[in-house]
Formats: sequence, C-alpha cells, structure tokens
Amino acid sequence: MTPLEQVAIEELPAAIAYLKQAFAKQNPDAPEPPDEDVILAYNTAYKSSVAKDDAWTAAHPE
Amino acid sequence: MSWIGSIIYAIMIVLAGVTMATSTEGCGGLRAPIHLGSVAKQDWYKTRVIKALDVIRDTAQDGNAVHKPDGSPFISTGTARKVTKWHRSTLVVMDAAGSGWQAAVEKALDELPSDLTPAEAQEFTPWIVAAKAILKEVTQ
Repeated sequence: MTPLEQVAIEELPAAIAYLKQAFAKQNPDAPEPPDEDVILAYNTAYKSSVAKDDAWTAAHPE
Repeated sequence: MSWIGSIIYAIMIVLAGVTMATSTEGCGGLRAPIHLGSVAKQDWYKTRVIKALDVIRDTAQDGNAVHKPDGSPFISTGTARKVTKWHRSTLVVMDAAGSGWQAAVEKALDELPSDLTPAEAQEFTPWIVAAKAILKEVTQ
C-alpha cells in the first residue's frame, strides 16, 4: 500500500459520510432555512476554509 | 496502481455515479430549497462545493502531517503546499466569479493534476472525480 493510499483510506470515511449526508432524503416537514441563514452559512464556510489554508501556509513557509 | 488503490478509486467512482444517478429534484440534500432567492440558492450550492474541495485539501495536509517509519511525510510538504494554494485560489475565484463560478471551479479541478507529478495526480484523482460529480450535480 502506498503512503497516499493509506491517507486516502483515512479520509474515505469522512468523504463517504459527507456524500451520504449530502444525498440523504430531505425531511419534507423540516423548516426551510431563510435566505440570510444560507448566505451566512456560505460566508462562514468560505472564511473558515480560507483561514485554514492561510494557517497551514503560515505554519509551513517555503 | 496497487489493488487497494484500485478499490479506493472504484469506491469513489461509484459514489460519484450514485451522485449523478440520484440527481432528481427534491431527491437529495444537494437540491436547494425551492423558496430560496437567487443569491441564497447559489450560496447553498457553493457551500457544498466548498466541502468537496476541502476533502482534497485535507487529504494533502493530513498526509503531510503523518510520517513514514523513515520520518518523511506521506505527502511531501511541497505537494501539500501546491494543493493548499490551489484550494485557496479556487475558493477565492469561486467567491469572486459571480454567475460563472461553476465553470471556474471545473477549470481549477481540471488544472490541479497538471501541477502534480503523475503519481501524485493519480492518488488525488478519486477526490477530484467526486468533487466534479458534486459540481455537476449543483450545476444542473
């Protein structure tokens, strides 16, 4: 097994869990989120993901 | 590619296939709620794409954090840095692209393998395929 395959195996559960959640049937009785909540969720996901990139880059200078 | 790599690759291709096979309105969590305005709808889809791109980034960074018995990382720092820079750049472009964000992300996913060695590119292929499947799903 190559090192990358080992890493892939470790990441596979998270990837499968995400895809399962993404394709889980929506509960028709669940309240639909308002626009502002969806927009906030996107901005939060974007900023936290970019922040993680910046933190890793700062911790691993060239 | 080893047999384990082939299995992982096959699993990811199957997951990508399931993604496309279940792409009917109201059938899955990737479909945006129908009441959302146009901006919120696109943000809904972009949030899901971010998560798929994060898997690629996290694979690189986590692989760099784990070390082989000889002390070297499973994924070199140089490779993890390339993928991290690619990931950040793709998110920034996606955020700034407006209505053409899907094409911009697809282009970035196509370009990532060319920035890696063939062996590295092959290892990231399943995650790139899965991200493209999700992108296609939210583009329909």
